[in-house]
Amino acid sequence: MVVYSSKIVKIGDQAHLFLEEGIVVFFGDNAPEELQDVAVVHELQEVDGEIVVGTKINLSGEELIVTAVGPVANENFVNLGHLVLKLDSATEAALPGDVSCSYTNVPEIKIDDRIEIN
Amino acid sequence: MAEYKKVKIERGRGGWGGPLEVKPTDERKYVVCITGGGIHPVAQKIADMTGAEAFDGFKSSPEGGFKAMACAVIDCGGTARIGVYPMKGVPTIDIHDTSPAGPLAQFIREENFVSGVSEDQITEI
Repeated sequence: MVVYSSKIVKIGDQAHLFLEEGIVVFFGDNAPEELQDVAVVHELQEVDGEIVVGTKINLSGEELIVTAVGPVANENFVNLGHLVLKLDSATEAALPGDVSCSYTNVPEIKIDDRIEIN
Repeated sequence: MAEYKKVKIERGRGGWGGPLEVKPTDERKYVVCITGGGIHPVAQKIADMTGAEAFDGFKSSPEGGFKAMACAVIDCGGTARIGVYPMKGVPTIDIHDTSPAGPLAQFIREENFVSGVSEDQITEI
């Protein structure tokens, strides 16, 4: 089942502050400018289903596997296209909005790359 | 010239920071709501009590940008919005019970941020 499928349309000027710490902050392309500045911006699409432990996320051709989901993560994603991926393999989400993931290689995100959540 | 009133906003259960005192001015007259699903009741209550205008920050940006914001109401899960609005000099109210975290944590102080806030934590002073 495809939960989400979209493409990256912009990488904010300050997104690197988060990426350097293994955090990918996503916002949809409807978000205010100040949030797009810190985010990897995707073309907003419908979300169909929930992200749960074990969900596979393909980002820029790299496969991530969800290891923990914070209590407000799905709500933020559905309502705002906002998703916080942490590449920390944590089995408990440190913050309420976190989606922690395990990974093999850190995705090198570029414009026109895709995010697919299954 | 509009008449504005001051409110105090305290942290809720499990929350952090504050109390904040918010009083809009003719320059800073918007309570900007950056949450899912339109104007959150916390933003509406602050606007109603102070005489400011509640503004949906996901639909558009207020004229004047950050300098026109009396405060920002967010439903941040702890990483991004929690730091962005304090960094821009806007007093920030998080509905969720978050504490400073993430790369922007350095900008988040008890003087500009309060969390765990529901309508019960807003009082007129």
